[in-house]
Amino acid sequence: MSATMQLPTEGRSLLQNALMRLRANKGAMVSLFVLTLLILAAFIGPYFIPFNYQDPDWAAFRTPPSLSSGHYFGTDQNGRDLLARTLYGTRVSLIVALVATIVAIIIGVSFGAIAGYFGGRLDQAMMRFVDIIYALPYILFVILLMVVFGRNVYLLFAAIGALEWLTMARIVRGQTLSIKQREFIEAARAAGVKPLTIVFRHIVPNLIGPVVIYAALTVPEIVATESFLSYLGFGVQEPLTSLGTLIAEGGKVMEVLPWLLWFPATFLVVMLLCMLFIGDGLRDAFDTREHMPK
Amino acid sequence: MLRYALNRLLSTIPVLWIAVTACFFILRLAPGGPFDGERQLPQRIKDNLAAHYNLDKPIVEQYFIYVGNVLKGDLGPSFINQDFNVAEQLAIGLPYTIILGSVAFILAIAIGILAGVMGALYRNRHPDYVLGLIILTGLVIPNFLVAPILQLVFGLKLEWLPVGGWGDGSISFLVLPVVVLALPHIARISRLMRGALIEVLNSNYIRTARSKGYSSSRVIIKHALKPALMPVVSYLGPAAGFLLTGSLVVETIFGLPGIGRYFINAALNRDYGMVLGTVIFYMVLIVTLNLIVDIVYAWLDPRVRTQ
Amino acid sequence: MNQPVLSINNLSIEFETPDGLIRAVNNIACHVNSGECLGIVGESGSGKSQTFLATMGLLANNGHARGEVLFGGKNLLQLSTRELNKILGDRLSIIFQDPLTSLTPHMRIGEQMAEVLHVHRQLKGHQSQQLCLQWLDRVHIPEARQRLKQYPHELSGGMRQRVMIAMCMLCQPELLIADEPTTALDVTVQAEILDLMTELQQDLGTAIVLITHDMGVVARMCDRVHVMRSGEYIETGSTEDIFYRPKEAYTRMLLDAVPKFNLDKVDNPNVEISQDSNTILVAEDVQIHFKLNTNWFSRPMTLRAVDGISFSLNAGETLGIVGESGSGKSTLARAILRLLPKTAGTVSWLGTDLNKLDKQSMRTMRKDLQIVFQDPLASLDPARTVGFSIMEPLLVHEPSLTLSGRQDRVKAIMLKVGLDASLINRYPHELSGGQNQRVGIARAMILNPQLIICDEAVSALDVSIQAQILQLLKQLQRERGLSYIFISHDLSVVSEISHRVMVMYLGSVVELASSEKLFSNPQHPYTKQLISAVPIADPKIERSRQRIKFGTELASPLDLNARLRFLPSKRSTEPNYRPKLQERFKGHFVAEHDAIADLL
Repeated sequence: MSATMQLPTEGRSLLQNALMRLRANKGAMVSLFVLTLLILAAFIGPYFIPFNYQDPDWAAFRTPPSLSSGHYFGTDQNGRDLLARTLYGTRVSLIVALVATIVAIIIGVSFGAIAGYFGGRLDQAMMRFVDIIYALPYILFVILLMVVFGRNVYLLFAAIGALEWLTMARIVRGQTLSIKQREFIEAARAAGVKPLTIVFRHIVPNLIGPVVIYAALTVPEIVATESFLSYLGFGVQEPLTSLGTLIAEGGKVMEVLPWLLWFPATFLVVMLLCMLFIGDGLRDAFDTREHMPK
Repeated sequence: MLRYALNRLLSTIPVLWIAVTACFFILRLAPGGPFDGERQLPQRIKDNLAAHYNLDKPIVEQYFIYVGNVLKGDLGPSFINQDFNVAEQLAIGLPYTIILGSVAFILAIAIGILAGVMGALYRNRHPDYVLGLIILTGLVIPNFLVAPILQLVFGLKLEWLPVGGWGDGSISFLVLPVVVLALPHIARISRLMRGALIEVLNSNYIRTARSKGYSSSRVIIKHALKPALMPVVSYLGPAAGFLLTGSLVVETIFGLPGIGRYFINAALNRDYGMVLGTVIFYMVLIVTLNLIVDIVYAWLDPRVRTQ
Repeated sequence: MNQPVLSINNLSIEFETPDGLIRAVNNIACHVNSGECLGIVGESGSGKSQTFLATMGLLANNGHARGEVLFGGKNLLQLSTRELNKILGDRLSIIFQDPLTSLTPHMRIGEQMAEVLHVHRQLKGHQSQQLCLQWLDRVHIPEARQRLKQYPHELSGGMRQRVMIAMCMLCQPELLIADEPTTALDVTVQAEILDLMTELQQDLGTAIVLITHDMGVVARMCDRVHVMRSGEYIETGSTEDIFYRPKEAYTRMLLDAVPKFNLDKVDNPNVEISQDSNTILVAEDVQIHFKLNTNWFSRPMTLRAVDGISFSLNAGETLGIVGESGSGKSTLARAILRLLPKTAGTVSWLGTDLNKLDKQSMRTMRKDLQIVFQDPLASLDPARTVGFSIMEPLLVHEPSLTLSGRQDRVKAIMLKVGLDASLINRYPHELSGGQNQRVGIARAMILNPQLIICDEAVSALDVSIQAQILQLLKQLQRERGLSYIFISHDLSVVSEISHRVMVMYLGSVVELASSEKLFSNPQHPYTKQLISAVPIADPKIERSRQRIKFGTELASPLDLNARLRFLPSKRSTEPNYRPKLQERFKGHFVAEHDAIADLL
């Protein structure tokens, strides 16, 4: 009985493997680092600067960035500190992205998993519904909603999140269908495991890969969408601000006050870039095909 | 094939119907209306206006009147701009939007596919890295940021191209808007194309084709290209939609009198008639494009047809 | 047997991987003479395919080949792509394993064939089409003219492999490389494809390199054999030498591992069943139908996957179920366990009708009825450790056990099935196929069931592993008095383990008898055809056998007419007639069929 004496060796799950591969991906790790800095700056930074995003500094209108004035990013036409406004804008963008992504994941995963697991007519009806909404130009709908119900940040979260779930639902459903076909689900049924237990014990854990990947791709998309809407004037409103609003304002005066465009633009681009790299890194890390021996 | 197309055509009807219905009720049930503007109108005028636009009837009746009119091609009156009805305004803006959109669409497909093929063939070598840079730019810099930068560089600094407007309609006025509109789609299409082609080139039937001693150009063009195009084609449906929404920004920034700009103005002014009309128009356009894309898809993949 | 068509000297193949350089093939040498068939035998991962992919310049991008491959006086490894392309597909052709994915999906058969002629012979139009038709006829494809206009997905696997062969033969190559050409096909189809290849070899003098894992196929086809293991040829010789006088232990092991399938004397190595053992499972007239294709335009069709099957099973007995793809054998297995709904019929276990049980009682009943699946990796949850997978049935049926109690049970059963208990926290992707299958068996065994259904339980494994698993199953049966229903497409495996065997064809039973009787004295024409199609790993016997053929490939279960394939006399009078099972000898049941002489 020497075998039982031997200590069990710890195995590595697919998830752990994927995270290890991600850790080996330099681009993704650098992006993660930069993104973390940005997030910290957006949420903690405002406490360390003497200006807030809405009160004008009567002594400094349209000042270019300078170290001596304390306005490191300069001020706008109303004398408001651009650093404070940019950090605030970044925060709004991040919160919108986070909330909307969570909304999308919750609705998408439950909708997709239910449709996929129970199948049949229910599945057909549910997916037909998704198809129909999918075929609609959704930006128009968001604009429509903003027009009808007024420009409200919370509504914006909900509206964007409620539309982004469609893709998530499709992905989850597809994945559920293919997992359901796998023999290990049949094995669990043959062992007498109850349906709902099967869903949570065997199906949901196997959805993590695609859900994480898709969520990572959704976040930048929502950031971009929010900026886009704010840019057009349907998003966040004065005196609140977001990166899109700041870029829209900066764009109008870029010849005379170029810093008003460049700083928020750089923040947005760097943020999107990092998210893109992290998303790609996650996709590669979870894509088992490339790592399987042939 | 014909049966497949017919089947798809029939399935677009509920999509359109639901969309129209949803838009109609969202707008009608919303608090406030076009005549609740800053100027308080006397109640009698309001009532007259309401009667004129059938707003005094029960909402369900209004809905049937509206749908009936839409089926006849009448998108109703604009509530703000009294001189033209919705259809007329759309007709004025249409040529600009269509020219802009179709040129950008064709450009995006052509460059995107070409760049994707180059990327796949020169995988992890110099052309692939250059391509990667284009993709990154297109994906990361939003069009409302690219537009002012290009205006600044090519319009104001270099003075090569006009900053905006339609001018005499010459090509130079089209260049910047088209580039801005096409860039993100060039990026996405080339990314899709590259990935798909790499996957196809690793497939068994490509190995078979190579084992027959075919030249690599023959293998790629005859055997690999068609299946690799499929993800690109299925992207084109949604892309058409994104292109239209992109035109909202581009027409606004470059001051082009297209439908997108009308839509933004109408939305900001709560011109419900115009908003509804534009949404319906867009929807028909997008659904039609999706239909075409699906049929092209079936043509590319014989397995879809017999399914 | 004059001079070599192809000779390989000092060939080594290396792959650059993230884990460093991997040497897949190590300094090998071989040659193929014109008109001969050379066999390359080895288990998966031995490098047998890579050798010949390298020969044709088809290695993956990270692969590199060194050495000499002489063909027509030139070293293929040093030719420019242009020069190599002139030879490939013209004088040197290859058939791949998987006919489903090896043809370009969007091109018609005709286009793909014509392309070969266009590139290598500059032929076009009528002349080219004639040649294509000729070859499709020659590989026995019916209605060749219509096939030219079809897409690959519209043909069956066997048909596609024929098209592949026809495409290879269009330019009449000097050498044809066949890389596991029949592994993905049913036995009867395999037999026809192998016959076809022999025919081409004899008529045209085409040399063939046959890469396979199947000793039976080698025995049937090859003149000389190389046995390959871990990138090297460990034994080389004439087929007779290899089979009757093997020198290397590995070769002997490969030969021993092949399930013996001797027609004259089936010595039954199985556990004796005591005479007084009682019936535990009875299936009566089980039917499972599926509704297909509820499109707007076409009428829904009914697929009769299982069409009225009855049998019984005794305690401690193994019932083998044999059939080709589409015969409904796996569907039947799932219906017995109520994993799929039955359309009609009853299955009773120890006298209880399983259909009448409510969900809760059925769940309790599952303790005694377990299943082992085909694909060892797919049947284990990738997100869970193997220990958890083995333990899961305990959570359902013995919820009172403590954690350590469960772990002890898991470790005990792991030892029983030959798994090291230290693997308990590993994940399925970290284990080999054989180990994973043992995990599957451990999971089925942990509740001490009375019946285990093995659904193609050894089909995905290499022969040596296959033999070990079969051994394990028999041992467990001896120790615990288990009953098995053993489902497989592989007759030799079934003959090895079963007491009684049931042959299925298109959802119904055509023959049911004890293993000895069925294999030594098959009665139904389909059984005869099936048995005669299985290659036997003994060259003398294999080559002297008479093959029996009734028409071509397996018909679709949707084709109602196909049900009367062995009873065509009823077609005109009673087209809906279902052949009945009759007891021809004691315990030997045969479905009605017309006289064999009339069928041939």
